[in-house]
Amino acid sequence: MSNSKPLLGYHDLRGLAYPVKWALAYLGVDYEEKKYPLSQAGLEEYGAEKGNLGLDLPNLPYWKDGSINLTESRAILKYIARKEGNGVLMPSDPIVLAKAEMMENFLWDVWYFLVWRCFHDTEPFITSLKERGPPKWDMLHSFLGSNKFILGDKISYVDFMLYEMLYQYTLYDADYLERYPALLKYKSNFEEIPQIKKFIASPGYLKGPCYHPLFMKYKCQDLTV
Amino acid sequence: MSNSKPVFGYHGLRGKFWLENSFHTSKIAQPIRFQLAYLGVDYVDKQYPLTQEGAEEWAQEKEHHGLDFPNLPYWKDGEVNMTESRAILKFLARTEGGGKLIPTDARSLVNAEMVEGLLWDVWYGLIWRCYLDSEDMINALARCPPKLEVLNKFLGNKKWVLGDQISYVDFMLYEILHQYSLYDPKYLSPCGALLKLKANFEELPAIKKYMASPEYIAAPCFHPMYAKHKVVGLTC
Repeated sequence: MSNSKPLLGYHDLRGLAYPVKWALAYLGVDYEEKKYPLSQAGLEEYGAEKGNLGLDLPNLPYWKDGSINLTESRAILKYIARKEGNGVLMPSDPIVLAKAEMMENFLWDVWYFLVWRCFHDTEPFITSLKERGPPKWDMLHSFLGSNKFILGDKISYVDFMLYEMLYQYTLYDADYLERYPALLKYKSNFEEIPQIKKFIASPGYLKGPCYHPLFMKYKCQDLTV
Repeated sequence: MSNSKPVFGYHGLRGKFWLENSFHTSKIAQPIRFQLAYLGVDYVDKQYPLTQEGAEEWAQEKEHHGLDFPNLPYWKDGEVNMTESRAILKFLARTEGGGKLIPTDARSLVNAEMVEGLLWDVWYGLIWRCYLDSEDMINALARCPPKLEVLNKFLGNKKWVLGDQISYVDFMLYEILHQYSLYDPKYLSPCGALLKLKANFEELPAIKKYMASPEYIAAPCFHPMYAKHKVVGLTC
């Protein structure tokens, strides 16, 4: 019997794939998951399978939906945003889309300050996060202003990235967003979206870790362990 | 008198600027410049000199360009004032030349975005190795050849990443191949398909013409004041 549900394959953590899961929850997409355990055995399991998954550029996460096999978390997120829910999560106007992609890339860099600080736990990454992060957060906070979502009134795929980033930063430092009331408000509003609230209450929801414990030198509860 | 030509602002280098002890990356410019040349777009190429004066010039101007997230490169064309090199590259691919540099069908577009993601990882391997010049970063670079070989296999007999039609992702790919070749001329030897794409790109009439023009920046790629690993053409 063939499996007709799409399949998301990833390590058993939140990582950079959780925006995909938020989007899937928001859109009400039914899918299966292959979760690779966070152990050497889990890595070996993936290593043994990766050549046989029908992936052009094998990596984690992967998404297989019967018509396409994909990797790269942002490509997966945007593919789903275009394909599902009548494309409600993907702006169609070229100027708005340019803003969305600008935000997407801006957020990715700010996110990676945290990822690399945790991965390396050494300079220049520790100082980078400390010194280069805040000016970027200030800009982001100012840009968000009183908007409900990052692009205005309408939710888009970028919001799922932003929320996950806010969640992970507050695991790193619970007070990180205290200087940014608009971002705190944004975060709690996101958690009140009915489909999101339902997913958070579901057994499938994972509080942490976010990054792979075997690779992260910096130890932080729910973030890297 | 107002200047009606669009403005592209960046450092006077091809791409990737890294401040000492920081993670600030001012992204890539050369793929955008190549794309503008390919599309025949007339624009002002505002280049900030690779000196302390250049850095100060930018620092003084940055809040006055109407940019939501002031950074280099920026693109201002009367309709948008934007930053983030990948976003600029794709915006131009959509809005110039009838949109021929970005696919509209879902499968091709997602393939382009998938390759875009892989290319970014591969690029960072080289960037960090050159800017930080540490043992960790030299070791990290070792993760890149397998990714290039996977990409080489994906390219196969295709002329461009997506097949017969060139797209924005070929402009990113070319620049990465160029920079890796400067780092080590033998680096791409196992990747025949990628080397063929590189040569084909350089033969495109619009690209050939641009590379022969006085506007073309042959070097450096990374900022000489901050890149610790010295390689002629790449970092100095």
